[in-house]
Amino acid sequence: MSKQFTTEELVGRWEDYQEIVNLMGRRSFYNLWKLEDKVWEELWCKKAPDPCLGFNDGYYKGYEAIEGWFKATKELGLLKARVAKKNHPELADKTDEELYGVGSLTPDNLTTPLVYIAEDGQTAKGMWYALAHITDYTEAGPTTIHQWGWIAVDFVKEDGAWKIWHLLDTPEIKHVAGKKWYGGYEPKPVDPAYAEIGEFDFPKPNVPMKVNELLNAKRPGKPNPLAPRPYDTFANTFSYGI
Amino acid sequence: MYEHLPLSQRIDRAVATVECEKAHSLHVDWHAAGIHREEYTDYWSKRNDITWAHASGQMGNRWTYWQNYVLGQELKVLNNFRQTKEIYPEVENCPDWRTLNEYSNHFVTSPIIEVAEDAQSAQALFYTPGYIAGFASANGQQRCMVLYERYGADFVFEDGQWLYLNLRVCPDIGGQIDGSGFAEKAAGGGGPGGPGGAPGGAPPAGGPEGPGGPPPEGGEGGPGGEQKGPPPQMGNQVDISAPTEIPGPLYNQWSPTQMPQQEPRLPMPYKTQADIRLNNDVKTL
Amino acid sequence: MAHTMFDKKIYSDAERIQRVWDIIEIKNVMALHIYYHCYARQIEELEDIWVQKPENKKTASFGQSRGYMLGYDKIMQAYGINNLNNQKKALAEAIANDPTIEDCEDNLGLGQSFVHAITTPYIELAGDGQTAQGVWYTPGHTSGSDRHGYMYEKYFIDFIKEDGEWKIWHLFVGTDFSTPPGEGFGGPTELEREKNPPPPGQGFPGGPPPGGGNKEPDPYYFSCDAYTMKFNYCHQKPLPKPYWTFSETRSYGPDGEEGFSWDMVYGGK
Repeated sequence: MSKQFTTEELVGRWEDYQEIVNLMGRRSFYNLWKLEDKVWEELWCKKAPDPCLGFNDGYYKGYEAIEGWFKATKELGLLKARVAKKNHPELADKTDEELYGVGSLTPDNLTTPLVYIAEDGQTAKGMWYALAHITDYTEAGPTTIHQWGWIAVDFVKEDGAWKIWHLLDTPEIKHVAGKKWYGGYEPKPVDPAYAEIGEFDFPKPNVPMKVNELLNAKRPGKPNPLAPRPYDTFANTFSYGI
Repeated sequence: MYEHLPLSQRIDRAVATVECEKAHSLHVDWHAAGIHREEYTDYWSKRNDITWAHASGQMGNRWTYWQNYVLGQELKVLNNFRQTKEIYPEVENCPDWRTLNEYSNHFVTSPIIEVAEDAQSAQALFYTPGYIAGFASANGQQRCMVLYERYGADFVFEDGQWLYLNLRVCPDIGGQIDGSGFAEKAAGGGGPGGPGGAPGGAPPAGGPEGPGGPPPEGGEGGPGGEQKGPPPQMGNQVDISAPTEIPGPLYNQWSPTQMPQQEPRLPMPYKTQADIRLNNDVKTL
Repeated sequence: MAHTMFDKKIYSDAERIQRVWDIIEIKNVMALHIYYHCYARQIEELEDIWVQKPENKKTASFGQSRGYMLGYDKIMQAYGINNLNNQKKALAEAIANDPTIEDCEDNLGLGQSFVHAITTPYIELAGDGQTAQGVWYTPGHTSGSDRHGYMYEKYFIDFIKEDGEWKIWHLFVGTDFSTPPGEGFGGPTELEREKNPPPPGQGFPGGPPPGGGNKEPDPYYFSCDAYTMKFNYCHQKPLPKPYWTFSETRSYGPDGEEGFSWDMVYGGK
C-alpha cells in the first residue's frame, strides 16, 4: 500500500481491524452456543449488494438465499432435538425449542489470521484457517467430525459497524475423528435410531458450482481461496463472493 | 465508534489489546513449561481477590491460588522430577526441573479481546483445542490426549502493566491425539482406539487437567475438593491443596444430553469494568 | 517485569500506534508464510516475505530440530527450488498414471496440503522498531497421497524491517510430534528408547522422532540439537525478552546456538 495515514487514521484503522477480529471470534462463539440467529442478525450485512455464503459445492447468493440457509440450519437443529428426545427419555418433558442445540459442540477454532483493511476504510478482507471440531447428532448418532480449511471473508462497513458481506467456507479436510482423511469424507454407517437426521432436505446453493473440493490425489495445487493482499478500494481487488 | 474518546486513550486501548493477547500467550507457554511461580508474580494483579476457576472449583483469592497453582504444583512436580531422575539420571541436567513435568499445551484460537473505553480493564475469550502430553515420564511411556476448553479472562491495568484479574477455564470434551475418542467415548460407546494408547481417555467429568481435577501421573494438581482431616498421602506425594472457595462443578462437559453453555461471558464493547459481568462470577451447579 | 514495547516515556502517541501496526503486519507476514507453505509455493513465499537486502540475505536462516540452513541462497535451493522440482516430478508421475491430468502450473502441488496453522502469538518488538521476535504454536497437518497425519510444532522467528516492510529473517520450527490419524499414540519415550533400545529392525511407535537435517557435509548447513521434546519443555527455546536492538537479544537463527558464528560461513567477509 502506498498511502500514508495520519496518526488518527491509524488509530481508526486499528479499531476497524480489532472489530473484525472480534466479529469473527463472536461468530465462532455464537455458532458454538447454537445462536445462529445472532450470527445472521448481528454479524451479516443488511444493505450491501449481493451478499454471498459459499461452500465447496456453490454459493447461497443474495439475502433471501442466505437467510434461507440460516432458517434451514435452525430447522435441522430442531429435528436433531426431536431425535435426541426419542433416544433419551430423560429429555421427554422438554420442547424442541428448549432442547435446541442439545448434544452439540462445534468450535471452529480460527487460526492464522490474515486481515487487510482497504485504504478507503470501507471494506476489508480476511482469511483464517479453521480447525473445526463438530460434535453433534448425525444420522449415525452422536459423532465427532473434524473439518479443516480456509475461511475467507469480505467485510463491509454499514452504519459505522463492520459486517460480513461475502463468506467462503471451503474445507479441504473432513473426516470422522480418528479416521483417515485423505481422498474424501467417509461417514459412519447410518443408525436407524437417528436416520431421519440424514433425510433432512437441506436447501442446495442457489448458485451451484464447484468452488473447492476435499483433498484427494487430483485436487489442483493452486491456491484456493486466494489470500487477501493490501488494496485501495474494493473495485480494485477480487471478491470472495460471486 | 470511539471517536468521542481522546486519541491517546484510543491508543491505550490498542496497546492494551496487544499486551493482553501477549499475556495470555505467555500464560499458555509457561503453563506448558510448569513455570507457575513467575506467572503469578509477574503477570497477575496484586489484588487479594484474584480468582482462577475450573470446572472443579474456583480458587477465590491469591492465597488459594498460591497454595494450589504454585506451591502444590511445585511439590508434585518436584516429586515427579525425583522419580524420573531415579530411572533416567540424565534429566538431572535440566536447568529448570519444573519444565520436565508434563507438557500441557492449551494453545488458543478464535480470540475476542475487548478493552474498556476507559482503558483500565479488558475482557477476553478464547477457545483451546489443546493437549496434555508427556514425553519424559517416569514410567517411560509417552502419552498425549486432547482437551477442548474455553478460556475467559479479565485483565486490569495496574502500575503500568496489563495483568490478569480473573481466569476461568471451561472444559468441553477430550479425546486422543490421533483423533479418536471424543463423542464416541464420552457418549459411552466403544470409540475407535489404537494400539499402545496412553493411559486415560477423555478426562472424567468435573475434573480434567488444569488448575483442578485429578492429575495424570506426576501431573499438576489444583483446587481439590473439601478436605476432611489431614492431607492424604499419595505414594510418596503429599497433597497440600487448599479447598476451593467455590466448589465445583461449575461447568458440565459435553454429553449427548448436555445443552450448549453460554460460558464464559462473551466480551462486548463496554465503558468501564463496573458495567460488566466478570469471570469470577461463577456458581456451583 | 519491564515492559518497554509501548512505554509512554519513550514513545509518542504516533509511535505507539505505529508499533501496534507493526505487530499486526508481522502477524500478516506469518499468516502468508502458512498460506504459501500450504500450497507449496515456497519460491513465491521467499520472494515475497523473506529478506531481500543482500546483507540480510547472507544471514538468513531456516532452522529445524536438527540444524539450520544458512543464507537465503541455500534456503532458496533447498526449500524453494528442490521443492518445486519435487512437485514437477510428482506431477509427471501423476500424469503418467492418469493422462487426463493437465500438465500446468496450477497442478503443481497436486493433491497435497501442508498446513502449519498458527495460534497463540507472542511477539516482542524491538525498542528501536527495526526487528521483532515472534513465537507461535502450530497445530497442523501434512497431507499427501502417500501419507497424512497431524503435526504439532513451534515457530520461533526473527523479523526485520526492510524499507518499511516486515520480512522473515530467521525462521525456526521445532517439531513436538507428529502422528497419523486413528493409529493410537504412545509407546516408549525417547529417554526409554535410549535406555532400552528396541531390537534391530523395529521402528518407534507413537510417531517418528523429530528428524530432518543434512547428513552430508555442507558449508551452508549447521548441524546441532536445536530442539527436542525428550525432556518435555526443558530444552525449548525461551520466549523473547524485551530488548532495544537486535544485538542485545538471543537470535532464533544459528547465531543463537553455542559454537556458531557467521564468520564460520563467510570467513569474516
